[in-house]
Amino acid sequence: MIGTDSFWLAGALAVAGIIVLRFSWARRSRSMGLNATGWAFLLAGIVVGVAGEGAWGIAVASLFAIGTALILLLKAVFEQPRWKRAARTFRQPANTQVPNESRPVGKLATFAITGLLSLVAVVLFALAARLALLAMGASEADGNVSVLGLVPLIWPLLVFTLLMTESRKVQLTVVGLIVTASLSILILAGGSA
Amino acid sequence: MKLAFDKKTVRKALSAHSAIGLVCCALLYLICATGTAIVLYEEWQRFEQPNAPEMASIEPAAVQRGIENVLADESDGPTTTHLFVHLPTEALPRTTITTDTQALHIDAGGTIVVPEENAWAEFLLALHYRLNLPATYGMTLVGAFGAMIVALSVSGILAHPRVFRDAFRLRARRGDDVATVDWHNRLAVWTLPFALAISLTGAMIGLFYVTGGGMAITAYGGDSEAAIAPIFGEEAAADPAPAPVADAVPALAHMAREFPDVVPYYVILHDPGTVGQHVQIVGEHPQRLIFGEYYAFGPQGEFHGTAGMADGTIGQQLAASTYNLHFGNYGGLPVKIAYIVFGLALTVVVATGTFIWLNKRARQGQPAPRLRAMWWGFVIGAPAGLLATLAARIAFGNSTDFVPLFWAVVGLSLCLSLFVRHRERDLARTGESTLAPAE
Repeated sequence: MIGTDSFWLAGALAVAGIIVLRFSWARRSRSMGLNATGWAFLLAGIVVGVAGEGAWGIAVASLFAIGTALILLLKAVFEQPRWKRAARTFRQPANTQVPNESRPVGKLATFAITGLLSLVAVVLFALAARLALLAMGASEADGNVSVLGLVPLIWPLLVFTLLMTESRKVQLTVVGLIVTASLSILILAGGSA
Repeated sequence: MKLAFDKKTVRKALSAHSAIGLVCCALLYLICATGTAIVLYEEWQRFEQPNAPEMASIEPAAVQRGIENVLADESDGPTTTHLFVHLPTEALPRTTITTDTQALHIDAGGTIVVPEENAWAEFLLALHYRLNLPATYGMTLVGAFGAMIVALSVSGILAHPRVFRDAFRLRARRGDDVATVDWHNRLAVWTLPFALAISLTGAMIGLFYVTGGGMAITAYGGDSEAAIAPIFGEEAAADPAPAPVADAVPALAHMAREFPDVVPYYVILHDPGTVGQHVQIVGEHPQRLIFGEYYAFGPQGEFHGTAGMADGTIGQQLAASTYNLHFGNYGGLPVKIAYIVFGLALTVVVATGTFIWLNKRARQGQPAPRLRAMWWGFVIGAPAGLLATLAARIAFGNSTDFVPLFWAVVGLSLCLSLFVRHRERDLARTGESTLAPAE
């Protein structure tokens, strides 16, 4: 597909940003100036992309940046010397235990809370957010799309947050609070569109 | 540049990252591998049926003749409720008419030439979209795994305090565990924007049965179509009384006259041959992420308006952008090639992630040789299964049952991998040497 001038400029800025960052991060000492220049080029690529071509411009400029990084990464493979010694094998004493949850019931409970219950909680949250958006004057289309978009965005973050929480009580409290608050809004509003 | 996370946070993030990765690894690998292959969906269709008639464009009158020919072909049975005409595009320069019961290629004059035969491309799409399961369960599962890529991305970044300092460090030629870790981390970091884009859009599409279903239950009396009608537009009321078939010619002429920059690529007839019938044209807007805009017409080509995909609310435009952003069909072949390269990188990230966990177990004195063998078997078996089904398509034709064949090859690969491991172990016990690569 043929692009416009702004599309090529956005792509060039994205490529330049990655190259400058590569140069900057390869130095022995940090250079705030070079780092800032690299990030500024990337940002400029995004700005030019969105100004000239909208969301399409950002998407394509991002592909330029990722592609450049992968090419530089491929080059990095051959910059490292071939490992002359035998491959490192890390061995620890056989009695070292892997520090993870060993009880099947505990694992199942973790899966049920962080995976399934959290999904229910997030769906309820998104439905409540939809009602809040509609109450604030958003269009029905935007309200409905918010449900479609919020769940894939918030659910993985909640899963991760819950897994970072070691206490089962805290996990249940967080999920319980989201469910209770969301259900309250849904029930009070009567679930109407 | 170093992100200032304390060691405890990093350890917990790594633990969460491992937990999510282990639960998801196998199906996530399959979704990434098939997703990479399905980027070439149109190209696979051309490969499967090279003798189908191709054309750069088709005249509106020929489209109408094609519609009437296909409806006449089906006049013995119940009339189709929807009729889709795929117009020639750069990626798929064919005119194909699909009804409720069949799909037929027509030539540039509107004559039916040959039935569409793209069973392998459809199998691949179904494997990626719903893991060959019923749509409700399969799409939800795939959507959930898409969301888990987001969780893995966030946890991976938190678990990697030297994410920027090491961004270009790839010690691939060491041939040890460090090389595996480097491949995983570097590819994951640099494909992060791509991974987030395709996982969020994939999860949005896949989790529709949950999100749309939730909306339907709470606000639309259980009607899922009513829940998405504000976004994509709603169907006009049906009137089954018979009427002459709608005319697509004035609608296509209107498009050429009033929207010359828009590229029509689908003509859809709703309830053809009834009083309630109406015509929709889906038009591509070049250099937009949206899949297109719906242009609605009456049976004689009277223009009724658009659905708002191109210029409606932010939500509508966002929803319309998910498909192209996910499948990489918004910039021709160059973007498709980029999606294939990045998709392969993501597939490698998933595969190496599990090997890192297996290596870590081994270092901690808890090696899992059977699991390692099974993972090798799956990593090799999934692409081998795809190749085997493609070979079967070429050798045995369009009617081949690809699903059992694919899973049989995957199962065989798992068994072979376990067998090789047992054999290596037996040889090691008896002191014989083996030429098999060390694991």
